[in-house]
Amino acid sequence: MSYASASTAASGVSLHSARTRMTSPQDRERPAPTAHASDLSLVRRAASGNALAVAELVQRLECIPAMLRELHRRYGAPLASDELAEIEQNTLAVLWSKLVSFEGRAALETWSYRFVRHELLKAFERRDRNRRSVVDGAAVLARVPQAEPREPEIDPGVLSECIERVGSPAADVIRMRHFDELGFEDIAMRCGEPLGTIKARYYRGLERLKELVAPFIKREQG
Amino acid sequence: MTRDDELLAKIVAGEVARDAGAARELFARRPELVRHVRELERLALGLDHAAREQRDVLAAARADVSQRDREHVRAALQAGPGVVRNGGGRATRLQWIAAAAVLLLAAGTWLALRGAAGDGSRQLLDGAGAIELVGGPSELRAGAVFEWRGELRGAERWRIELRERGAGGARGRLLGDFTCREASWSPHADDLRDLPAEVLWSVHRIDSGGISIEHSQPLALPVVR
Repeated sequence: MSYASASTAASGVSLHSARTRMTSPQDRERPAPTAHASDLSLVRRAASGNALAVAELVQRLECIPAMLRELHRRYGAPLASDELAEIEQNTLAVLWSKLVSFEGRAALETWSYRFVRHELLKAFERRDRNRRSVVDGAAVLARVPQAEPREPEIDPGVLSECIERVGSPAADVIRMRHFDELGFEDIAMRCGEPLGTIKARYYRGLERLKELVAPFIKREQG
Repeated sequence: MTRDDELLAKIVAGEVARDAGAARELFARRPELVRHVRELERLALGLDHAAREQRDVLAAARADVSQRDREHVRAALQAGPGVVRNGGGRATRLQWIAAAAVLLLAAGTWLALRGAAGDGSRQLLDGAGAIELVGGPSELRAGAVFEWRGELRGAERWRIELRERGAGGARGRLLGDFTCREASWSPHADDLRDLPAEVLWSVHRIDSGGISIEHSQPLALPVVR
């Protein structure tokens, strides 16, 4: 995994871009059912002050600092421990402030993962920008670990951000298919939709995703 | 969706094989779709990769959760702006009483300090600062050394805050912050690059969740580059 390309990706796509901009009229006709209704219920109960729900929420999300450490390690651990501690604080602060907007479209951990990754990449970008005057490009490249054998053509961070921009319900089907590892039949059952509709949504979602990631593929090749 | 699109959807979903009769007929009639399907399949592989990476990271993270992590998350959740601010009747009343007491204390200190304003370029502003500064520069410039008295416990750290100076010396927007374990701080030239001509400088003792436990009086300092 290359943190240089991932960092570029972080700057190229806004996390909070209009989620429904690419949503087709037929997709907007009916709201998609919540894929992770129990997680949504947990967050709402915690937000209303239910002590049991708060405890469960803490338990579910206690892995966030470790998630950050693990991702940082996978990017070659370029930050000092105090910098990482600062990112951890920022990430937790951002996460809590956004928790009220959690819609249950992904599992809590998946939803959190996106923030953790985004905050880490933002920190890489900030660090590179601040050091541009004293560290030359070759030194930065030397710090970047060698590509892993399974280096994908499209950075996972870019994909994650672009799925957001695909919008619901097509993005929900893509998430359930790939991130929750559900078969189309299971997705159809969970959404209460005909199998053909789910497959069509998946196809349309992939097509939109392809359009959205295209500039990043070109950038990496260029 | 057109009939071709429906067939493409089935191919991409794996319901119809690429070498099935209907698929072969479609690709013969519209060869440009071969590439299109390949790109969608590559995208699906990329999604699988991203999902696998996420699962791996989550699994590794779950196996590496420490007590410190639990405490951090719990502290942040309780302090966070989005959730669990209102923890029930009694807790909420106590929080309001505590907040009112802090406000009264701050107001009292402000009134007490108002009559004893200092002079010189280094200006001590109003505020109930508990952390005592040791001497200290009268301007913010690269290499200047700021020192203060105090001890950290456990996972606590010092956080230096640079803020805009608002009207009447009020604390304005946060311009930058730095954390350290030593009771001293010295800025680099880079730290000063984007600062205005004058800033408010203060040091805070923060807990493992980033919550300020005590702080110094803010200093209004000219920035010298």
